Amino acid sequence: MPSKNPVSFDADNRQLRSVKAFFADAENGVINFSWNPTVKNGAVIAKDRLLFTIRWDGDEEEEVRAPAGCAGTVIRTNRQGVDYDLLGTKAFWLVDLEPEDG
Amino acid sequence: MPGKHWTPDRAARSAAVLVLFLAACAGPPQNLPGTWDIGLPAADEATYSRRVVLVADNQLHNLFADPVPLRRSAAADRLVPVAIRPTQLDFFGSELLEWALDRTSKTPAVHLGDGCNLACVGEFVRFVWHMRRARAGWVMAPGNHDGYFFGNEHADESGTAWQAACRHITPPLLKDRFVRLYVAALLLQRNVVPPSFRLELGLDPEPPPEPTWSELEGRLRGLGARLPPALSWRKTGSERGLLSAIAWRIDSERPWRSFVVQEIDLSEDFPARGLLLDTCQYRSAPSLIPLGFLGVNSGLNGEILEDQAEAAEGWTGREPGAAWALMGHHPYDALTSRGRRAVDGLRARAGGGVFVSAHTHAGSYRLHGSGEATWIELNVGSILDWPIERRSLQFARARGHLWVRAPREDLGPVVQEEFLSEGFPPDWEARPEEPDFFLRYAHLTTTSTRATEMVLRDGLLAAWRRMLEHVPTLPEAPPGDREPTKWPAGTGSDREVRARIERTMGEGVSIETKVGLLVELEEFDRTRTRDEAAARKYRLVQAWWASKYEALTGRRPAQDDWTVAFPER
Repeated sequence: MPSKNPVSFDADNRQLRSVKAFFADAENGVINFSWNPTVKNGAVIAKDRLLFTIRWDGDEEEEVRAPAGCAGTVIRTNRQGVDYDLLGTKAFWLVDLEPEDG
Repeated sequence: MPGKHWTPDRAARSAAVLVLFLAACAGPPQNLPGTWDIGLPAADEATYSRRVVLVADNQLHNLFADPVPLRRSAAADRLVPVAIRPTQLDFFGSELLEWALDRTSKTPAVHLGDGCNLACVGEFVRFVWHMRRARAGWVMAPGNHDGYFFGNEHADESGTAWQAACRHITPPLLKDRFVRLYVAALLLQRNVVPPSFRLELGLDPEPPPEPTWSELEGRLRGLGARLPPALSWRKTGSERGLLSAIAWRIDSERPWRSFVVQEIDLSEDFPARGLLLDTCQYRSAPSLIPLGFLGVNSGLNGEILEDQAEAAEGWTGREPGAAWALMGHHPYDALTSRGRRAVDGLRARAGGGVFVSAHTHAGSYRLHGSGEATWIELNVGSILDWPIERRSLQFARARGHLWVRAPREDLGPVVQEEFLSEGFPPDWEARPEEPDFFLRYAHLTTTSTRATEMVLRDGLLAAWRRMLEHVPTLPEAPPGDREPTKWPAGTGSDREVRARIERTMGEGVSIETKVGLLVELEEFDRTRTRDEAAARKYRLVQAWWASKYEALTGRRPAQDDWTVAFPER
């Protein structure tokens, strides 16, 4: 069954990642991820916070918000290292959060 | 890759001499001025162009060639190391191209040339067949192997050498033929060619369904033959299609003056264009050993003539502020002064941008100019020779800056991680004692092309035998649209095919007989039922070993190999 979620949150490692099945099943390729400028090192985020917008080839856009459990202080975001052509091939880390007890 | 087969001692001595020489000659390091940034992600508010995948230099080689006098002997390979590649690289290398395209199939691909190796029409047809895996479409800038014998010269097409090289997949791919067949390959693609371009040529606005393998060559030749000898076309409306302009000239009297130049539309948030130049257009016929003032070897130098530059000039000046990627096969430094003048003129009209090239099989960024006039060239490595490379290209704009974003994928480690991390049957890998050992040819010293080809053909047959053991033929799928399996004559099972292969190996069997079986085996492999995932894995890994060991000049661990198993005691 095709994935409906472009990202998943790994609670153990406090890391948000792209879901390759979602992008593999998508009809179009990705032009880019347009990041929310306020989501960066030191920002505190919680469920439903806008993280970035997927800009699809074909003029459609799709907001990606923090899923359940994805809450805490951002350590870093992967603005540079996502090879958009490989989103359907492998998962990319997108956001690292501080450990809950940190 | 000079010096591929040198001994370490000789290589070290030579390297020391070279270092001293370069130290004496080299100027100060060349720097991008401080106004440029390297490695900085585009700003969050950046706007973007569309993106293309970049691949180059797959060098698809005719496996059925007769011995080619002078060029394909073991001794010649010492002088020109890429004269011969490991058998498995010629045999399985196209799998690397298909796999790279499959991984990125939602993005259009730009091939930067050298789809072929010896320059035969049949090589180009096979190349087009593999490129169909770029589901979002593909375009190409011609390389020196796509129209010149062995990439070096415009030879006599009826002469022994080129005819031998193209045996079974004739005729030779002269440059004028390349232009016809390439434009025909464009016309077969729905995602690339706008309907108005097909109408301009008197064709139906929509291409017919994709040709099957057996239809492809006829379709390419038929469409190619209908093309006028010269045309300049530009898209006017907002039609779909990657191609936004194309111009060509087909000169059958002087094929080396033929050219095809193209513009692709990368506009998304702002105007962005790619200009695919033909750096394999020459004033005089390229020759292996250039003589005289105008002489040139197309393997060493590229050129662009005035008529091509004029055709593209009108395109580059149309949109002030557009981002441009000028692309061509030869690096800027390898262009003749005429070629460099053409690029300089087009760059000036385009307002700068990046120059993208290939040909070196060792990708890098290069700097040109100085001070505020510094500009960059992105050279893309080979999808075949180590390090196996694929890139993408996209522009971004923000805060007055233009970014070039060109993620690079080093596919060697990816093959290792995806296909070898769980281990593999040890007898997948040909060992140095075996006839299909990847570098067996490199131990030969003969000047005889026939003796060299005997070893290469036996290696290829042994590689075939090994593949059948590990990727067996499955029971035939129920009849439908599928062609029945074309078993080699006298066989009806893998065991019988392997037995026939073994009977055909060895010195007592002529090259012609060996090649005859190889021709049958190609048809057999195309029509037989097999586990496609297993076949892909096996073929990729074979090409990976071949590419790696060729670069290492021997079967030895690479710097990043984690384990080495000692012999059993």
